Amino acid sequence: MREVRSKFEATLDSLELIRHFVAEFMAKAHLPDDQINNFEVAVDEHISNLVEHAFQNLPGKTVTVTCRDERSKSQVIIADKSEGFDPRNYSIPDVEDAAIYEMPPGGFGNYFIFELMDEVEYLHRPFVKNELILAVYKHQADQVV
Amino acid sequence: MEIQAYQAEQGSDVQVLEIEGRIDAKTASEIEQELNSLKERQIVKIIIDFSAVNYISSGGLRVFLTALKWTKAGNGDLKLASLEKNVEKIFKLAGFTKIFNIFPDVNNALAAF
Repeated sequence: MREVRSKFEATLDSLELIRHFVAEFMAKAHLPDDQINNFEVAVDEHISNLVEHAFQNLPGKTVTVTCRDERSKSQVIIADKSEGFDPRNYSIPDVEDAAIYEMPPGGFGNYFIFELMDEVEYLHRPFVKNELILAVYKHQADQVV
Repeated sequence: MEIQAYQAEQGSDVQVLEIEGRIDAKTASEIEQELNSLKERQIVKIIIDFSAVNYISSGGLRVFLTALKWTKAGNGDLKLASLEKNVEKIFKLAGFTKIFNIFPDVNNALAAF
């Protein structure tokens, strides 16, 4: 198992740094480009939600991002000490039937997280340690020793 | 992020917004400002050139959906051109490929106005 961890300021300015941190690790783990992009988007969405909703753009807040590579899956764990932002509370945006004028401009972030990841786990421990655990499974062929 | 707005061709009422970089919750606000300046000038026929964009998150989608609404309301349109595969994946996932007119390049988008 290989693992790296880093702490980042919880601001939208950190998004690019965090994506780079995740993408670099996953590239070294030989993940295909589309799966690296899936991780980037899922991480980006959750951290944007933490910054805007859980931390309400307050300065001096941080998130800790851990990247982990195992034999069967790759993971990114985002930990924070806010009141938390549970991505499981989302509804699937109704684009099919809604007129564009009725469509809300947001609400896609959490939906993307669940669509792009193979596994999503959320440990909600407000003001102690919330953790979002994102995982993608490696293809069977990659697991043959 | 680099954003360049230019007239599609001489005498045309179509503006092209050429974006270079990655679109997230932070950088989307720069695009929103540019689109709002077009709205203030009552420009409602817009093409977004995505050929130099290889990343978008939901923060970017929000900005384009908002602009689609006001361009359509003014009898115009916001057409998208040259979507790279990671960008198209996100538009598709959101169901936006059904509500936006998407073209392989700017010339095709311009011909459709």
